[in-house]
Amino acid sequence: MSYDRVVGVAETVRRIADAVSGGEVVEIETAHVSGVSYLTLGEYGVRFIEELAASGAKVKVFTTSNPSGVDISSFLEVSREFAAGQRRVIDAFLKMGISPISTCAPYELLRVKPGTVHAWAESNAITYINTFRDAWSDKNPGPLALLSAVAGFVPKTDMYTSEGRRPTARVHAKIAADPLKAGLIGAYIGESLGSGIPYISDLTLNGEEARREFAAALSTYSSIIFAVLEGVTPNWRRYLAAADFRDRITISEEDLSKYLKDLDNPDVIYLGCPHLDLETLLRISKVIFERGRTKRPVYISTSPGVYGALRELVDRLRGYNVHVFAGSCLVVSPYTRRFRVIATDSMKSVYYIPRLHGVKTIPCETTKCIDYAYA
Amino acid sequence: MPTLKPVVRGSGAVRAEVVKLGPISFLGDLDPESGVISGVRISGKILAVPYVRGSTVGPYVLWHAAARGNAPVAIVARSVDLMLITASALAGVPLFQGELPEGCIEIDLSTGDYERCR
Repeated sequence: MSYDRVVGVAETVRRIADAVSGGEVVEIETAHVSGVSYLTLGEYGVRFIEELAASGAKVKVFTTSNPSGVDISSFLEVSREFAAGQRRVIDAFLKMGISPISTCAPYELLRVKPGTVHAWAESNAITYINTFRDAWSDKNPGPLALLSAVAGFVPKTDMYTSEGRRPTARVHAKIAADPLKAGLIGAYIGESLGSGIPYISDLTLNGEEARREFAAALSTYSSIIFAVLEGVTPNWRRYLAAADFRDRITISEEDLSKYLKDLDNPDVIYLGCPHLDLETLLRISKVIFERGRTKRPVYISTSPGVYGALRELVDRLRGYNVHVFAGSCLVVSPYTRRFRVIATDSMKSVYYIPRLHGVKTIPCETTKCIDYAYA
Repeated sequence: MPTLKPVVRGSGAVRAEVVKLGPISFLGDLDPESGVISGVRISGKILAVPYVRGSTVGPYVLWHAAARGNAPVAIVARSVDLMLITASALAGVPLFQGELPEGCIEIDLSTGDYERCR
């Protein structure tokens, strides 16, 4: 099969711009590609990426990629066919100059600055850089982020303009949130508003993992990809001054209880969606080493960077029945299908794992999740 | 002459049968090897849907159908989003916003002007 249209990548991005931004495009500094796992990409996606690589396409900007279906140490066993399919994706990425960093938290590596322009796919990452860095990205479908990486520009949609980034809803949430609660708040705001840009006051997100969970849940449960957090988002004062509030909501702790289901008996505990940051992993390890070997296995996904930095700790944790792996996650790995019920502090996992794998999930606070491991 | 709003323009004009379906997901609903969606062959036809739902890898499936010569000649949707636009642009299938009657129509792929086949 030959596909010469693939050569006209820049032209394709321009055609998309004709449809969505009056033909205007904007140059990008970085790109992040989603649709990497052979599970979600499928055979047709792999063939497109292979054809694109074979046509000689190379990325013009630094480009990272999402978790794949196989982790870097092959701890999550997959079939030979699946591994071969995944290898084809990674090989094509390497050929095009894409960094096969395999993380959904590329913001850990890329300190993108306020006002800079990026073509990212992967909703949690887009929401994270918009919200916590004021770096600009729209929610580009995986294929568009890939084409934009090659073209070096992206359609200049509203999210790439000051006017299009004005907050549209005022949200009061006097809550201090751990990772689970941060996810619950993200889900609640997402479901309440559906779309637009919330300006949120009084919310305290405790720690890096809470920030990640908030971004992931907000964008999983709605089409929202940018929230302005008072005192947190760079340039928040400027956003407040430009706001055009059409909705107002107030959230209390009681509102969040609707997501907490009756407890089922989990056979495994899963943390690290989005990928767990270094600090949180160290904190959890300390608890594990104090409490001893867990009764139920704990799975933790992280970025290859954190995994590499904490290699000795990761090896030690394995003896405690705690399995840290990198480059993949339980949302996109077929390994997940061997479980029955997964307890997790990730609202994004609570949404996707039942839908993608038919496996049940129980949301729990990080410390409660760890308690489950010893119950 | 009635007209549709061009979203991803093509060139020239085609004469084809309109296939009306409900909301579809390219991934799962369309078999790119045969050009069939839920028992109906859409290759060489005008596909009319209210909207397209589902996975962001959908564009790859439509691309594959096009590479196999199994894509529709045009897609007409009541509402369009970035995923459908990306799919159309990637596969080189002109996309229009609006609604069409059933039967055979002749459509100008750059303007969206159409009339019933005579």
